[in-house]
Amino acid sequence: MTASGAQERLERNPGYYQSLLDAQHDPKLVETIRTDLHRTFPDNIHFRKSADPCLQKALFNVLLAYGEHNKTVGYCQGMNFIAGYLLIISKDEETSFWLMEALLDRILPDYYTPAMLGLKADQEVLGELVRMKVPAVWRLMQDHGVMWTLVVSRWFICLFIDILPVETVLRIWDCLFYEGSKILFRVALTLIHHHQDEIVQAQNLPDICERFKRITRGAFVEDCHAFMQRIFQEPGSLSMSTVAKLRESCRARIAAGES
Amino acid sequence: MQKEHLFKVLVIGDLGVGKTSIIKRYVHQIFSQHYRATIGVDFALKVLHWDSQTVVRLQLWDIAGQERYGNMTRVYYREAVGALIVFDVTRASTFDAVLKWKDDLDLKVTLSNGKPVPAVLLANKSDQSREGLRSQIPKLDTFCKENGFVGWFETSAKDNTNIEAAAKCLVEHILAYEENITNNTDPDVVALPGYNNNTKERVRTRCVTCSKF
Repeated sequence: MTASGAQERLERNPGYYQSLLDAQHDPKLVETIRTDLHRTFPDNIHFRKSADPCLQKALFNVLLAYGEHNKTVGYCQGMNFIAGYLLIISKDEETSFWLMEALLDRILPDYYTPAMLGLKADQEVLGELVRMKVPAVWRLMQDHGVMWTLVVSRWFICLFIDILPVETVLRIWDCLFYEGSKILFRVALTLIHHHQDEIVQAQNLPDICERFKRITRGAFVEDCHAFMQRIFQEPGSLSMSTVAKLRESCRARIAAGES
Repeated sequence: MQKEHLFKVLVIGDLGVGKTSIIKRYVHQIFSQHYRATIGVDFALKVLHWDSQTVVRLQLWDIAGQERYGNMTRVYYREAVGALIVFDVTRASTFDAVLKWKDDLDLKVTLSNGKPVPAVLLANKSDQSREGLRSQIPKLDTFCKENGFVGWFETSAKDNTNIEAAAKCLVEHILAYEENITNNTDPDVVALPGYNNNTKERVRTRCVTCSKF
């Protein structure tokens, strides 16, 4: 809360969260959010309809408030998992809202806007980093014509929620709030680098996808303390300026390709 | 000789219409109320022993339904040879979006002869439909004809209604096209988009012409 500036914003803006909820809401936004309520952490008892209190209501409020706060973003699938995860941890709607604001408005690039340009760029940035640091895997992807988005989009959109074990995600998010979005590349690169021998044995596209799922499970990611040490060693040096440069060139490339 | 086919099939439609449930029912014979919203794309493989000579491997691509994922997921359309377009009979807005999905499909991918890929329309969650909406369903015959769907089915992933039938219908159309192509592999004939290259048609046409003389 403190590190991300969320605490300060909460204190400086009393009543803001409530005012967002009291505003007139776009019916389309409300319907889209509602569609995903029962499809967010369906296995978690706090999100069951029978739970008391049922976190589905709190989830609805946080997502609606954010959609009102940032009308450009509105609601994007994936944000349901982020808000839900924040609610599980903080157990408070308003705190979750401000943490979400910190993440989406300041820490992450524009992942969830309608054009999703920041997300598309970061998938390509990861591709470029793999080309430099794990060339064998990069070549495999080239040979089979597999786009990075196919195997890593969920990693970025859900910030590893529901992909890595809960404790590991908690540790990653600590770093995310303290050190920024670069940490996502460290985690992704570590997973790929550590399992490269396994990945390059893939024979075809479904096989590649399956292996990219498999590397997010098992002892390597479950031992969260050791895993967090690995992410700062295994991928080697990764400066913010490298990431910034790559982001800029990937963005330009995507924008040129779409026009 | 046994023939083996690999077909890429897209499962598309608005968010929450039951695309994932349909695939899980079809591939794993299960249903749950507890599926997560699909982010990005997922896929599953179904192997069909079609007849004594034919094995069909269906690669089912489960594509996220939210509109903004559209320009990211469209890259997955290439090389698809069929599609299931799904709507939810309890939410009219998901039916209104069906044509948007169909147009989008036709725009992004076509068969090697330039024709649209076969698409089957699924009116899902039929177990929850009320009489009011059900009375609209007979009109779907006309709707499908007018909009180029090869057929439609009232389905329920929950009750396991018509999922197999819908998939079978789609595979029949895909196979019919494949056979048509194989029968027509004449190196001197170039298949032009929109031109009917069917051998029988050509023979008949020629005969009609001959008989005139």
